[in-house]
Amino acid sequence: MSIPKIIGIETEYRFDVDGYNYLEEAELCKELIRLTGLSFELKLKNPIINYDSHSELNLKLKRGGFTGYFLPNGMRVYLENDFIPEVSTPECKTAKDAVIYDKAAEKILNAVIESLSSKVGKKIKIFKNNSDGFGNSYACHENYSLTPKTFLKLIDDTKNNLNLIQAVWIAFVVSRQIMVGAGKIGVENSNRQDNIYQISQRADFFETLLSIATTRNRPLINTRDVPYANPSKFRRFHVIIGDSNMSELSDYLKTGTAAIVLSMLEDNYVFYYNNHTSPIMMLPVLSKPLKALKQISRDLSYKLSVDLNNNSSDTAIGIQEKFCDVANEWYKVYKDNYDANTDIENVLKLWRQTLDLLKTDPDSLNDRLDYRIKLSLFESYLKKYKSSWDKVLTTMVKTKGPKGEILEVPILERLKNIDLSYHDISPRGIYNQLVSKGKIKRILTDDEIDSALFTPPKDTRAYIRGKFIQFLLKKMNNNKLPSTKLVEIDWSTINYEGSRFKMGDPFESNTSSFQDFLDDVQYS
Amino acid sequence: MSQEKKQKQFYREEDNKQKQNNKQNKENMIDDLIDDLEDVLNETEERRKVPRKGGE
Repeated sequence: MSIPKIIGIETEYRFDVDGYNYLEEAELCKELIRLTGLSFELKLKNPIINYDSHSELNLKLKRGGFTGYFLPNGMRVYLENDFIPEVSTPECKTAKDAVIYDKAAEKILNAVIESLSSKVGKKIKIFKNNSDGFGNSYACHENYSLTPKTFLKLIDDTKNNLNLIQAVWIAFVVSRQIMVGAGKIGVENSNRQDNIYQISQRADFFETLLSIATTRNRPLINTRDVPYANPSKFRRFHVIIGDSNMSELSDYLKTGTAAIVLSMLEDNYVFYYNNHTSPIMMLPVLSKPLKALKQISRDLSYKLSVDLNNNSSDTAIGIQEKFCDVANEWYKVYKDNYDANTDIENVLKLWRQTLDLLKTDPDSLNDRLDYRIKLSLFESYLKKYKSSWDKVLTTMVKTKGPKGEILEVPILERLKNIDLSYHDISPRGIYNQLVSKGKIKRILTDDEIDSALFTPPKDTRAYIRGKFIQFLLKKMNNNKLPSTKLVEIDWSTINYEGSRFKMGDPFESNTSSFQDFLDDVQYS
Repeated sequence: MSQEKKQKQFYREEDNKQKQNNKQNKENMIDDLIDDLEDVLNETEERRKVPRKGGE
C-alpha cells in the first residue's frame, strides 16, 4: 500500500554579479550563503538575532553542514559547486506547501541580495532558470518519500530492460513537460540551429535512462539512495528531470501530479483484470523515451505522436490524459487512505482542466504555465517589431551597448534577454512584474508565502528542526549560548553537545520526546 | 446543488474569467505589461553571454 508523500524541491539558482570574474563571484556567493544563514532574520521583518554581535558565534554552529545553513523555517540554503546558491525546501506533506516554501526561498534570497548589493556596490542578480544557453545546466530536483519496496524497484539498474514501474514513471515524466516546462529559446548539446523555442529547459541534457550521475550522462531515473530517514521504512526518490518554475501553478502540477503517480505505482494501480483473464496494462510505455523527451519539448503544436511500445503512438496530451484518467480511478479506490488535509483532489481537478485547455484553447494557459507565458511575451515582442519566428535572425532591433552606444542586433538576441529576465527573482524580473500587475493566475496568496519565511510546516519533522533553530537563535540573542557549544543539525539528526535527537520518521512533527530533549538542553 | 453541478459551475465561471483575462492579455502589448522593458532587457545583455558552471 502507498504511503503519504513527503515532498521537497531543491533549486539551484544562477548567480550573476555585474563586472565580476568567476573567482570574485565565487567569493561573493559564499558571502550570500553566509548572510542568508546568519542575517535573513534581521534583513526581513521580525529580527531574532543581531547580526553584528552574533555572526562569529553563529558561524560556529554547523547548521546544515560546512557549506550551508538550515533556516528557522526548516529549509536549507547552501553552496553548490563553488558559486551556485541552492535551496532545499523543508519536508512538506502537500504539493501546495512545497510550492509555498519554493516561493518563500526566492523571497529570502532576494532580500539578502538587496542587502549584499548595497554592501559591495555591485549589481547582483539571481535567476531561477536551468540553463546558460551554452550547454551547462543547473538543476531543479524533486524528492518524494516512497516505501523501500517501490523505491528499490524504481532504481533497479541490474536488468537490461526497464521494469514495468520504471517504464510507466518514465512515460509520465517525459510527457509532463507540456504542463510544467519552463520554456527556452535554443537547443543545447546538439548541432541544430538555436532559433527555436522549446517547452523544456532541461530536455536537452538527458542522455540515459538510469544512472546515479547528475552532472553528466544525466538519467531519467536517478538511482541515488540517500534516505535521510529510517531506511527500513522510508526511502527518498530523487527526481532530476524537471525545470525550475516561476509559475506557482506549474510548480504545483509538477509536484502534485508526480506524488499521485508515485502513489499509484506503489499501489500497483497499473493493470486491470478483465474477468480474471490476463492483466491489461492501463498506462502507456514509450519505446524510445530519450528521443520522445526531445521531440515533445520541441513540439508546441502538441500534435506530434511519439512511439509507444505496443506498436502504437500517442501525443503528450494523450499520454497525460491516460495518466490523469487512471489517477482519478485510483483515487476513487484509495481515497480513504488519505487524511482530509490532502490536496490530491485539487491537483486532479487542475490536471484535468489543464489538459482540456491544452487540447482546446492553449492560449488560455498563457497566464499560468511558464512556457506559455513566455511564448506570449515573445510573440508580443515580435509583433511590436512586425517580425515573426522565421525572421528572428534578420529583423534588426536598436539597443544600447554597455557604454550607452546604440547597437543594432537581431531580434533573437532581445528574445533571449526576455527569456532570462523572466527568471530574475527580483521585483524587476519579468515574471514578478506580471504578477504584480495581476496578469498571472496564482494558487498562493502573498500572506501564505510571507508566513513561510519564518515558520516551518507544522505537519512534518521540519517543524522540530525549525523550532530547534528558533530556540538556538533565541538563546544566542540572550547571550546564553557559549561559543564553545557544539551544535550540529542535519536532515534527520540534531546533535547538541553530544545529546542526539533522531528524526528518522519524516512525518513526526512534534513528539513528546522532542519536548523532553528541548527541556534537557534548555539549561545545559 | 449537487457536488457535480457545483464543480461544473466553478469551471464555467473560471473559464469565463479566463476568456476575459486572455482577451485583455492579447490586447496588451509587452511594453504595457513590463515597466522599462528595454532597460530590463539591457540589464541581462552582457551577463547572458557569459557561460556558467553547471551544477547538480
